[in-house]
Amino acid sequence: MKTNIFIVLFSIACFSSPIKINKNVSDFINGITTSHRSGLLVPGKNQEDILKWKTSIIEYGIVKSSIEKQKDSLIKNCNMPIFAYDSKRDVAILKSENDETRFRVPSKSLISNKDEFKSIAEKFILKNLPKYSVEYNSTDVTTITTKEKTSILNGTVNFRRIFMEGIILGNVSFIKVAINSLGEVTNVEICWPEFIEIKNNRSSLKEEDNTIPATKLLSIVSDDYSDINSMTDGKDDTPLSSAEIIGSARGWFKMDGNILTPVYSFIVKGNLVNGESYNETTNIPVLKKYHPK
Amino acid sequence: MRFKILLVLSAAFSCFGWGSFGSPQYFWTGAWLSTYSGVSCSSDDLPRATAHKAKFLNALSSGASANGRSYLLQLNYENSTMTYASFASTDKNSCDVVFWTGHGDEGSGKLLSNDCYHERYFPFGGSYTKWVFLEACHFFQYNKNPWSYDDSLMNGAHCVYSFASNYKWFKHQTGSWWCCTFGGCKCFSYSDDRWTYMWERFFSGNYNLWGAYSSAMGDSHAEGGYGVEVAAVTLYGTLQDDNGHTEYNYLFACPTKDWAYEGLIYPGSNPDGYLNAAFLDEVFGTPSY
Repeated sequence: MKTNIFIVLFSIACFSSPIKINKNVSDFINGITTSHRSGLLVPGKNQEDILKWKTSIIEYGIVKSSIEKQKDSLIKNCNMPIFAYDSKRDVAILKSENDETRFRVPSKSLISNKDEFKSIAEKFILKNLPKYSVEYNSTDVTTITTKEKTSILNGTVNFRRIFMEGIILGNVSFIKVAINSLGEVTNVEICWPEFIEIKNNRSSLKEEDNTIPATKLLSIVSDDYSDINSMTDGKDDTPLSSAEIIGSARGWFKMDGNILTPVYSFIVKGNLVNGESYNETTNIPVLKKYHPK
Repeated sequence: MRFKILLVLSAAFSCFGWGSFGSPQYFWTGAWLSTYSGVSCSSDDLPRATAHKAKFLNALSSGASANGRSYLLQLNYENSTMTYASFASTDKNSCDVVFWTGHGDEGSGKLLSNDCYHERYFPFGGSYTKWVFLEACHFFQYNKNPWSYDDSLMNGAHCVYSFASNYKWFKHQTGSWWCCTFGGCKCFSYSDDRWTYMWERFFSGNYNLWGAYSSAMGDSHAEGGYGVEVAAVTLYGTLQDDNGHTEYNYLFACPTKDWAYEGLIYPGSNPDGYLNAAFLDEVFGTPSY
C-alpha cells in the first residue's frame, strides 16, 4: 500500500499537487500558507510577529506545576468558590456555585452563537488570569433538543499556551473556560506545568537549517497517512487523491521523557479518492539531532 | 438515601410508580463486540474493537473498585456469539451499563450484528440499565431528534450515548518519523484510550458522565487528527430527594460520581413516545458523515 501511496503522491507532485513541492519548509513557515494559529490575546502583536521564530534551540523539561498551591489566589482572582485538583492530569479546576446549570435543561438561553462564548471567555481571561499567556484555539458547543425546541446548552472555549512565542501542542498546557447558556462562566480548567531548560545537552544541539524539501514533507505525509489509514476502519486501500498544507505554526512538542522540543507544525489535509478527507498534524523538529543523516 | 420522582417524569412513568431503590452500588455490565472478521455482510473489519472493549471494561472496573462500587461483567458476547438474538432477546436487567462496539449505519439508528441482522429494533436497556454506550458509527442522525427511532430504543435505560457522525479507530504516530526514532517509540496515541479518559474523568469526581464522555471523545479524536460529533439521548425531569432538595430539569445523561439521582427510575419503566427525552450533541473539529 505504501508503494501505491507513493505513486499517487509522486503523480500528485508532478502534475497537480496543491503542495508547493519546489518550496522548502521555511517557505511554508513564513507566510506561504495560512497559519493554524487561530487567534491572539496579547494586544499589539500580530501573526507575522509571532511567526518570526526568535526562540533558541533549547529544549525544556516538563515539570509538574505548582498550581495546586495557588488555590487561594485562583479562587480569589476567578471569583469561584470551588477548587479541585486533578493530579493525574495536573489540572486545576475552578467551579462556580452554578456550575451544574450547564447540565440542566435550560429554561432560556441568552447565547445564540458560538462566537459569544469566545468573547466572554477572552474577557474573563484578560480580566482574571492576565499572567497566563494563551491564545484562542477552539470552541465546543453542546446543543440540546427537546420536543419543543433546540437550544444551546453550554460551551467550552479552549485556549492553548504560548511559550517562547510558539504554541504548546497537544494537551500539555491549556486553559478551558466553560460557560452556561446564560453566558455565565461556570468552570475553568488550568493546566500549567513548569518548563525548565535542559542545560546539559545544549551544546549538542544545532538548529536545523530549514531546508527540508517539500518532497521530504510529502514522504512524511505519506508515512503518516499510511500509518493512520492502516488502522482506520479497515480502509487501508483507499489512496489519496490529493493533499495540501492548510496550516503551519511554530510550536513545542512533548517528547517521550517529558521533554519539550521546538517544532514546525503543519496541518495537512489529505483527500481520499472516495471523497473523504482527514486532517493530519505533522510536527517536524527544529533541532538537527532529530533529523536523519 | 431514598428518592422519589416529583413532577415532570410522572407523565412518562405514572403507570409504573416511584423508583426508590436508592443510590446504586453497582456497575454490573454487559458487553457486545464484533470485529466482523470473515463476516460477509460487513464491508469493513474493525480490528481495534477488541482493544476498545478491553479499555472500556478495564477502566470501568478500576474506577468502580477504587470508589467502593461493585463491578461485574454479567453478559459478554464476542464475534460469533454477538448475534441479534444475543442483544435483542437477552434480559439486560442485571446490567447497569451496556456496551456495544460494532457497525452503525448512516444515522438510521440501526446496528449490524455479527450474524448480519441490520436492525433498528434493539431494546437497549433493561429494568436496571442506566447507561448504554453504542460505539457505532453515525448511529444518530445528524441534527435530528431521537423520536424518529423506534419506541423500544431505550427500554428503561436512562440514556444512550453514541455518535452522530463517523468515529475513527486509530493507532496514531503523534510525532512523525522522527518521534519513534528519537522518542523511545512511545509517540503513539490509541483510539481505545478514549474509554480510559472517560472513566478516569468520571471517577475523579470532577466531571459528570456526559462531560466525561464528550470531552474524552473530543480529546481522543483530536489526538488522531479527526473530528467527531458525539451525541446522547437522555431522559430528563424534575426530582426531589427525601431531604426536600429539588433538582429542576435534571438530565439523566449527566450524573456525577455519587450519582445521587440515578436510582430514581422504576424498574421496567419505558417512556411512551419519549415525552421527556432530550437529545444532546457536540461537534469537535470536522467530522465525516
